[in-house]
Order: sequence, then C-alpha cells, then structure tokens
Amino acid sequence: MSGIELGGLYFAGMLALLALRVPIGIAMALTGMVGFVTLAGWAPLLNQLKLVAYARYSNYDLSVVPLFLLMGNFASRGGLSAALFAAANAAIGHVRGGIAMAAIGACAGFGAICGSSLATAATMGQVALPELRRYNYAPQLAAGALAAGGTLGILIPPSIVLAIYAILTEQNIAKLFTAALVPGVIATLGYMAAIGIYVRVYPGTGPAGPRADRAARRRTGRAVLPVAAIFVVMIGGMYGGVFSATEGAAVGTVATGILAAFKGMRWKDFVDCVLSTAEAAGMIFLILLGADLLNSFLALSQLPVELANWVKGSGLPPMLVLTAIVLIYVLLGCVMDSLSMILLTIPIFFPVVMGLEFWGLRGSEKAIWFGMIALMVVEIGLITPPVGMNVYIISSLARDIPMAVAFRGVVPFLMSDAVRVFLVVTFPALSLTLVRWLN
Amino acid sequence: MTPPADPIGRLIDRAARGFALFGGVLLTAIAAISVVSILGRWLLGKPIQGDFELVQIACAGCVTCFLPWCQMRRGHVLVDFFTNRLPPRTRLWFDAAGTLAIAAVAGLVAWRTGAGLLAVKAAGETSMILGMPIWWGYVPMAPAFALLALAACHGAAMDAIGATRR
Repeated sequence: MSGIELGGLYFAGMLALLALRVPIGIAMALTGMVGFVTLAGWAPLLNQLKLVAYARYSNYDLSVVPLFLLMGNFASRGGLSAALFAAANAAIGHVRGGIAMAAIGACAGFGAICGSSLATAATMGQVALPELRRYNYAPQLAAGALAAGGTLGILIPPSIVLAIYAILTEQNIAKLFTAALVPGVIATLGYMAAIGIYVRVYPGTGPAGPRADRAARRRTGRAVLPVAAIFVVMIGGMYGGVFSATEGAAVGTVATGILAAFKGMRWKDFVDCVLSTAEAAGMIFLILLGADLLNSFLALSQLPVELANWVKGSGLPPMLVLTAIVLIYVLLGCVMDSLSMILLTIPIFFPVVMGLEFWGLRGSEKAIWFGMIALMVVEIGLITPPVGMNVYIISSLARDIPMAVAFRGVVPFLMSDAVRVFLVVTFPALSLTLVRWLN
Repeated sequence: MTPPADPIGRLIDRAARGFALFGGVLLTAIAAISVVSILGRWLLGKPIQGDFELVQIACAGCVTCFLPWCQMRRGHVLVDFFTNRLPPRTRLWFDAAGTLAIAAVAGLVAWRTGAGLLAVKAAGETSMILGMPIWWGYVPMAPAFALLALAACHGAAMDAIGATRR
C-alpha cells in the first residue's frame, strides 16, 4: 500500500474514532502514532516522542494563546461587558431592534479584548439577556443575536483561532489580525442589518428602547475608553512592529488585569481566572499535541503534497475547489469545534489552496485571504445545529428559551454570514487593503 | 463541575489544581518578562537579554501544567453528536475507553519526555543567548503528563463505575 493510500485509510479510521467519543486530541495522537509506526517503525516514533511535546509547547508565538485566554477571563471578571453594553445601548438602543443591535455592538467591543467566542457569548449573554427581556424582545431574536454576536469574539482580533492558523501556516500573526479588522467590522454591521431587517419583516419582535440623553451617552461612552485604549495599543503596537504578538498579548493581559482589579477583582477572582484559563488552555494544547503527531504522520505519508499536486493538475476550477472546502467546513462545523477543525484540516487544505490560482494573489497574501475565509466559515459552525456551542451557551443561560427556538433565531444571522463569506471571497481587497496600506 | 467525592480523586484534584496554579505563576512570569522587556527597550533603550528564551521555557511548562486540571474538569473536547442517542450506560463505557486512551497517550508521552530530559541533559544543550540548559524546560513536563495520565485513569474508573451502577 502506498503512503497516500495509508494516509487516507488512517485518516478515515481517525474519523471513526472521533465519532466514538474518543477525545479529539487523543484520536489525532493515536492515529498519528500508529501511522508513524507503520511507515517508519517503533524506534523512530519513540525517538520523536522524546522531543515532540517540548518542541510543540515551547513555541514562542504559541504563548499568545494562554495570554489571550487569561485576558478574556480578566475582561469577563472585570465587568467590562456591562460597560460595553451600556455604552452601545445608550448609542443605538432607541431604534427599532436597537437593544439587540447594542448587544451585537457590545459583543464586537468585547471581541476586541477577548479571543474566544464561547467566552464572548457567555459573558455578553449574562449582561444583555435581562435587558432584552425587559423590553419584550422575541426570544428567538434575543437568543439568535447573542449566539451570533458571540462569534465576533474570534472574528475580531485578537483571535485564538487566527493565532493558531498563523502558527500552522507560518504566517505573521500581526498581519492576520490586521486583515481580520475589516471583515470583523463588516460582520458587526451585517449582524445589525440582519436585526434591522428582521424587526421590519416581523414587527413587534424588537421594540425600540428609550432614548438616552446626551449626558448618559457621554458617561457610558467614557466608561469604555480604557477598553478601546487597550485594543489600540495592543493591535497597533503589534502591527507597528513596536512589539511582538506575545508582547502585545502580555501588554493587553496586564492592562486588562489592572483594569479588572480596579473594577473589584480580588485575589480569589484572580485564582478563578487562572483556573478557568488552565481549563481552556489545557483543552487547546492537548489537541495541538495530537495535531502535531497526526501531521508528522501525514507529512511522512506524502498525502497533503500529493493531494495538492493532484488538485492542481486536475484542472478543476479553483473556485469550485474553494467552494468544496467551504462546504466541508460547514459540514464539519455541525459536529466539531472551530479550533479542532482548523488543526485537523489546515495541513491538508492549505497546500491545496496555495497551489491554485486565486485573483492573482501571491504567497502570504493568499495565505492571509484564505485564513479569513477559513476563520469565518469555522465560526459559522458555532451557531449551526446540531452542535452549535454558542447556541447551547445562550440557551443554558436562558432556560425558558428552547434550543429549537434559539436555532431558529440564528437563521437571519446565518444569511448575513453567507453574504459576508461571499464578499470576502470575491473581494480579497477587503482583507488585504489594510495590510498593504500599513506595510 | 464538582470535585470528586472519593479520597483518591480529591488528592489528584488537589495536585492538578496545584499544577494549574504553578502554570498560572509561569504565565504571569511570561506576561511580566514581556512587559518589563518592552519598558526597558522603550525607556532605557535596552530590553531583557534573551527574553524570548525565557518565554519559551516558561510557556512549555505553563501549558503542560494546565493539562491535568483540564482533565479533572472533563474539559478535553470530544464529538458527541453521533453517540447522543445511545443509552447513558453505553455512552459511559465509550467515555471510559476514551479516557483510558488519554491515560495511555499521556503515560507514553510522560515516559518519553522523561527520557528526552535525560537525553537533552546528557547532550548538554543550552539556549543561544542566555546559555540556559534546555533540560530545565523539560523538568515540569514529565510530571505534568504523568499526573494527566493519573487523572485520566481516575476519570476512566469513575466512568466505568458509573456504567456498572446504572
């Protein structure tokens, strides 16, 4: 059996393991190790295992992941979500559907200091749900807006998924974060537009809130200035070359921690932040180790290279290939979390995409553009049934909203997602202009 | 998630918490080193020499120390979609097997990382700028993986007991 056939066969075996509740990182690790032994033998595997964990975990860029997680925890604990929602609500709460739009805006603001979608959905859900309920928003609109708004957590930089993509594909983290800014803003506006249309098609689902006076607007606006300052310093410094991604994450974490301490975070809360960071980071890093083992087997089997060559030589239209990749992501997203999807598929899809011609893009620009598409598509998986983690979180916060109602509420936002994916695919300038301009 | 009720489980839980907090100390160190280095570069024109080597070593220790705590909180993700319709008992047996697989992989990695520590120490590898011995980075890793294996063994046993009692 050739290496490629073996690679394909073992990959299928791994999917079966996944379906049988084997933890994702472990299914990857087992497949990778068994495959490595088949192709190279025991002794090379045992040798490789001596160094693999340290080599993987001592990656300098990777330290942004636990830092961003800690920063997100500080931001949640420090009550920054409430300040963001109050400011957004004072600004746009008085239009029809305005409170749901404010929730989206606050999610975007929170996403700017938090790299995780689940954390964004959870913390904004706690803050915004009571308010949405007070003004009699339809349950499906409230749940849909918060679940979809949560996805802005990874879409708007900093983003853990994007950092992992950068490390896997050896791209510059700061450039990817910069590229994600415009698509992130489009996503925010697109979600708000979806709400605006929805409340007009179904009147009474999202009444207007009271108009805030100027003083209230100024007061709530001032409360979010520190958040904006942290974001500007962190992302600006990373891109301007003042500091590395890790240093930027460190600055953001320390600043958010100090802010949270001012807002009443105590020692016990700090320990809670560390422990919940440990839980989330532990999950990510076990999968990373598994992905590393799987990828060294796949590389040995030549599967990714041969697949890329075959696709390139097959004469299939590049856009058809890209559409197929997007569809695979949407399907996988129905059963898997976003990070596992990226770790599982990027080593295979990335060489394929890089071998094809898209809009005359070259090298790192193509990598950045594809990164944006992959990021947006895996994030859709968070709100699609049957496994939509964000929707689960919102309906666990609002016990009276059944899951089916929440999933129905997501539909307008999915349409908005589809339009945005189409725009970003068709106009690479949306992701690349800022990167080119700042270069 | 509540801590385990049995004495062995409580002991492992406490150890995992200790490792996680030590990881938190290392993470705080990473943040502090980076911020001090920026300030030094900005105000005094001199950064911390070899700061990224310190970050690398601390990062390896930090994230490995987080793994056992994640296991004790059952935080390692799996795909549950295809097995959701199975009776809870069958599901628990699957979980026992999956968790045992974590133990097996973690045990193997603990053993090999320990061997790696000795090999790297014997080779006398040091970092480029600070000349730190690389094996220092391995020191927290082997015990953390061993604790992950232990935590997973305990979890698998709990799943199996749960399955037989149903």
